[in-house]
Amino acid sequence: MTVVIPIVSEFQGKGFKQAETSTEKLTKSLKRLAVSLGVALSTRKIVQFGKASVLAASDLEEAVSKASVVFGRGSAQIEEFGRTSATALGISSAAAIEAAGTYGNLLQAFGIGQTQAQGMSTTLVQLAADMASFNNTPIDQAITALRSGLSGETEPLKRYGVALQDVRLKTEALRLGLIKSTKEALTPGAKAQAAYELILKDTVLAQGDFARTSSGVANSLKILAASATNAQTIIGTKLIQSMDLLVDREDGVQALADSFEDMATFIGNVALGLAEVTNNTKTLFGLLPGDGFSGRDLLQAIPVVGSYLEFFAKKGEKLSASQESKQGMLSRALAKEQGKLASRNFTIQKKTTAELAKQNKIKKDMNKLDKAGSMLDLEKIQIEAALQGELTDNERLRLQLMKALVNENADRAEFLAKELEKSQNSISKLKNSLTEFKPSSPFDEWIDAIERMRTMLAGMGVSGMGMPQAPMSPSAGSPTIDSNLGAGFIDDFLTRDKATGERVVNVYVQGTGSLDAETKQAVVDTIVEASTLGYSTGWFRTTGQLGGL
Amino acid sequence: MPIEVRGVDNLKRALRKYDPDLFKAMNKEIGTALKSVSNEAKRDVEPNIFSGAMDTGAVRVSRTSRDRAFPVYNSSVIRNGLTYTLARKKKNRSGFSAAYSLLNKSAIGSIVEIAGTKNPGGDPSSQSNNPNAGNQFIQELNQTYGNFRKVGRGKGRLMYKALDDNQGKARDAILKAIEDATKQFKAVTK
Repeated sequence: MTVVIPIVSEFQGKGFKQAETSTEKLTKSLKRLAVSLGVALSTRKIVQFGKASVLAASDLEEAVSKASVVFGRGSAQIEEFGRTSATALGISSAAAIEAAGTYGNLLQAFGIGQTQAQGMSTTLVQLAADMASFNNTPIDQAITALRSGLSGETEPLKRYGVALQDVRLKTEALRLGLIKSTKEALTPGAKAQAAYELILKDTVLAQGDFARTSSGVANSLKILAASATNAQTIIGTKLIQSMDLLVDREDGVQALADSFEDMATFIGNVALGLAEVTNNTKTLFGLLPGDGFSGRDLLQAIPVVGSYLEFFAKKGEKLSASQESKQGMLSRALAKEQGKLASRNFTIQKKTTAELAKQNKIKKDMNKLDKAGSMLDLEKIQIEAALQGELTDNERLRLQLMKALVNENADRAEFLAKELEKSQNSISKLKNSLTEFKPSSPFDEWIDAIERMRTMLAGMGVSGMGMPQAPMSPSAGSPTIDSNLGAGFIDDFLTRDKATGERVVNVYVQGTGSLDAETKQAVVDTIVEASTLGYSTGWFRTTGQLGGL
Repeated sequence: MPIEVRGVDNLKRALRKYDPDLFKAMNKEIGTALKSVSNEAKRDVEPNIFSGAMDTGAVRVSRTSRDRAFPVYNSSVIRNGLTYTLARKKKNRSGFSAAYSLLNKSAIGSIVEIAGTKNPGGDPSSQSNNPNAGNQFIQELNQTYGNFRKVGRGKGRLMYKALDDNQGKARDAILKAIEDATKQFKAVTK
């Protein structure tokens, strides 16, 4: 008693519905048959018959199993005995083997050997049939009476004309050599053997009665009943095999439903045919359990039983043949499913890839728009009007970018953004270059130049060079070059000509002697050459002894 | 109300064959979600109920034609029976079967869960000497556990109550686990 609360459920009605549909079809087809036959048919009866058949097959299986345990290797002979029991004794195979097994078990329990017990068992079963025939009792009753007699109960056998008294048993045991005197107590084994012999003696008249009277009505009925039971057993065995094979398959429910439908149609056809011959449409139901057997029904039912056998035999053969290819079928089915799964995955993958690509493109476009938009620093613009005006390149670019963003033209916006970025970068670079611009200081280079000049001028007899503000006194000697030029004076050399406003570099050369023109020129050339700033002659103004060169 | 899904069996089959680790991971997530509900139900089990139903240790025998006596109330038995399953259950008449479900397995647990859902005044065909036995029993249960809590078409006092309190979180977690497993499997099988 479990309360089940489903959380996630799934509809699995395919086979279920098909089975229902098949059952409906089955009922409909049977009803159509009923209309044509003029009788009411019931699927329930067919199902009942199937169940009874399966039970009969199960009973036989149990009996054979018991016999194999009781008789060991001798069970094969017992089974062979059972095969002919229907016609020879009027009892079904299952009942005959079961009875033999019971007797064998009992006799062995009394200490009788297996081989002897086997012979005694089959004899007893045969005797039971004869006794039942002779005394007109059911065979089951005779079997039970014999079993009781072997166990020591004498009353049930009295009806069959067998008197088992202690005196007689002891006498018989003595005759058989099982005891040495009648005063000796009988062992169970000795008692059973003595009883067996006495039973055989007392039933001499009954023995063989079944064979003698088998053509009579009573025994005929028994034979037929036994045959019908055997047929049911065979049908049941085939049914079990069919069901085992069918249920293992994936479409087991459908296949079962189909097989029952086929069976119903087949039986219907047989019944129709039989009705034509015997004009008795109740033949079918005469075979079904619960309705009782009448001799007439049984006689007429034999062809139907044969039809059952034929139908199920064919069905069984087909299914047996398919059993070998079952594995191959399963492998093929699995490969097919794998193929389907792979194909489905590929389709899903393609769709997913396309979807992803689309999403990526959308994402990229959005990024472009975001990037371009981040460069704007205007809130409101009248783009078109503004574009009409006189604008710088940078402003025009910005307005065009705004226009592209307003029109949501991501590609155009991206292009303009790049152009704007380039423009801004070049401006930045220019600014940086200007702000970072430091004209090469003539200081360091100038010092070098002056040193070189001094060296060269000294070589030319020029001994002095100084600032114009502090001209050296032309006192005497060769022109000198003032070597006390420090960093603080560099700006003084860079002056502007008062007249023109141009930058000039003043060089004052002081000399005590006079310099000829050639020397003067050489001095100037040297200064120019020494200047690493690349100043032209025009930059230099000489004073002092060099005059206004 | 159970959620209807499609293809769970196919997914399970595919995962079991091609990605057992993912299958185990999915089952673990689902089990965790269901366990949370069953644990909640276990917390709601009352230790005691009216005296006549408690387990005194005495052996009870049925006084009617039934095979066994009415089960005694034992809270630990009830708790042990509150569980879940990941196995496919049988189809019902409509063709639906549960892929994952909560269970109240013990006899007394089932009685406490659903007693009174069909006959609120007690079973009219009761064989008890007391004609009001069923009604009194149901009233006592209602007093101890409160009224039924309805989830979908079912109602009950223990697992249904826990499921109602859960407000669909467990169900959503299960669906998410199935969905994630599907996505991962598809990604792996590219």
